[in-house]
Amino acid sequence: MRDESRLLVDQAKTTTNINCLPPEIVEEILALLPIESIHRFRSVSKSCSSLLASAEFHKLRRKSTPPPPEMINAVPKFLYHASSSPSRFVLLSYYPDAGKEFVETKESYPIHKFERRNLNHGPFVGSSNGLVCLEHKSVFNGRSKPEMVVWNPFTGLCRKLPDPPKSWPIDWRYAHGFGHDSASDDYKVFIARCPDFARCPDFGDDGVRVDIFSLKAGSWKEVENPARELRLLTGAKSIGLFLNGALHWESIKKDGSTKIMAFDLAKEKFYDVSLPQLSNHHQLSPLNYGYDSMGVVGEYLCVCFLATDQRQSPTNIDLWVMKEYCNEASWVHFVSYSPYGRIGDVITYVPNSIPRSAKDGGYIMLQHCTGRIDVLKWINNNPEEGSDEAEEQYSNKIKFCSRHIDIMTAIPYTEALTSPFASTGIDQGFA
Amino acid sequence: MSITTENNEKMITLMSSDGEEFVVEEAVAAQSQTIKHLIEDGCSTEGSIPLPNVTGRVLSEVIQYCKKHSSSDDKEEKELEAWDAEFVKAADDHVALTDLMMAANFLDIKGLLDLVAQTLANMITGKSPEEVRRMWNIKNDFTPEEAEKVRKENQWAFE
Repeated sequence: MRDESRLLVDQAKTTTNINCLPPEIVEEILALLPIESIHRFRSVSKSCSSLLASAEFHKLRRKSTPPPPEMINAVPKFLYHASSSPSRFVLLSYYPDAGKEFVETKESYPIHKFERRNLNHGPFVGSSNGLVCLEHKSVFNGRSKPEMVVWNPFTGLCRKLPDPPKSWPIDWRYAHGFGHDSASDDYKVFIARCPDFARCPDFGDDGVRVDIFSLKAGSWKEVENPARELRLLTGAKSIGLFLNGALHWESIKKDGSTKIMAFDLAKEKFYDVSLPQLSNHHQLSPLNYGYDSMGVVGEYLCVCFLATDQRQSPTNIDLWVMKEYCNEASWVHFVSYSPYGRIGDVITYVPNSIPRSAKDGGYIMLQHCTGRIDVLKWINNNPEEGSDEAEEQYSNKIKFCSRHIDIMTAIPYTEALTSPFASTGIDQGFA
Repeated sequence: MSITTENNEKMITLMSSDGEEFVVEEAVAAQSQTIKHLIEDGCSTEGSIPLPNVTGRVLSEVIQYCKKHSSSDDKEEKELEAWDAEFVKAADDHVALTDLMMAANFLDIKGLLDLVAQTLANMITGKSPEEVRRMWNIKNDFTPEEAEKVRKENQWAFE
């Protein structure tokens, strides 16, 4: 019996005899409640609050209302935000053999109270271990303001974050990110704001400000010496890619070349990651289209390039992976891919593969600006090979499939019971 | 003591905590896993089975439930559901339901346990934290600052 489950027991000696009910029975009653009530009852008492946010409780809860089996067994690793009316979240389970590719998320989300912020990336800030960070415009008393939440779509728990300490002019650029800091087992939200470089190139470094929210501490903190390059993020790419404990963005150097800027969530420091040296026939696609082109394939950082012919016409899309993190020499060409339709319409979203282990191959999903998703299946017989031979192997075994859906944005996602509340100071030590 | 009726049904006597005796068919009593095991262990041959945790008032309700559920088969599912709904409605308030829940737990009657748990859950679903505290006499041990923090984090559920 867990100590925290004595929530109703210790304190209810006098009136009704609920105090005689074993804690597991009390938990069973509470597990039948809808998610809104569970959120509301977190205010009842400290032990109640802690119980209702715990992973164990939500495991029990899922047992009372089991999710459809395809949500557990399939490989649904993308959470899509569909902007059609009514706005909703859809789990993409690309699992051709199961015959079910899309599953609507069942847990209610207070989306009806929000207006999607008009961003290229929709509401997503990031995703890690089952938690999804979102930003919305919340409409209250006829006025709207941005609001951030951390949501677990699997359990339905949703934590509203306090407003960041400072507000910014609306036309400033910003960069976002969300990830897990394994050193302190904490989850952190990253927001950077800076003046638009094109509009005010002379603006000093003072214009760049970065704030970090720690789920554990429950508060915002300003990061010292933020990277000046934040002002130079390419295109509309505002969402950092989370890999190896760090967030990654593409950025432009002073000489105009492109690099990857990273932020270590544990050390809270910026560093650079080099891109592969490419021939003139390749261009970094975001320079052309202003969209994301980084992702994770297997455990590797993957960058998506546009290959062109001698006349600079696009021919296909090349994916490169960095086999050893932060080792520039370890970039290898992974696969070339020619989408249907006009190549110029392609790739608004990044390669991301499932499963995350490269050992058995997996799926890579790419999204077109038309809303089309391309799914590449790759079978990896020899994951350690970076040679041309291995490349050929990949290419030969890629299967291709397309599907239209009225989606705007997506984020890689894994189901887990991780609580957006579990590690807040308030929830600890009240047995 | 066990008696056998004319139509050859074995009867069992159950005794509540306040000394009330109930004579029921074994098949009815055996809806309770606890009693079933006692019978299997031969405890019923000595006389009545004492149930020290259940009062006569609650036990008579439990027996009502067990009678209904041992005499109905699967075909009558709809009718049984309606009967269950009426049954918990009669239990009236959360105190009576809590008593019933405890008895169902002690006697290990899964169907009744699930039924009452769902009823209690439905009863508190729309309540405010304050109402839940009053209902089960739970002390609000948050400081005002902590309370505000929790409320803000969970804000959408309050609006």
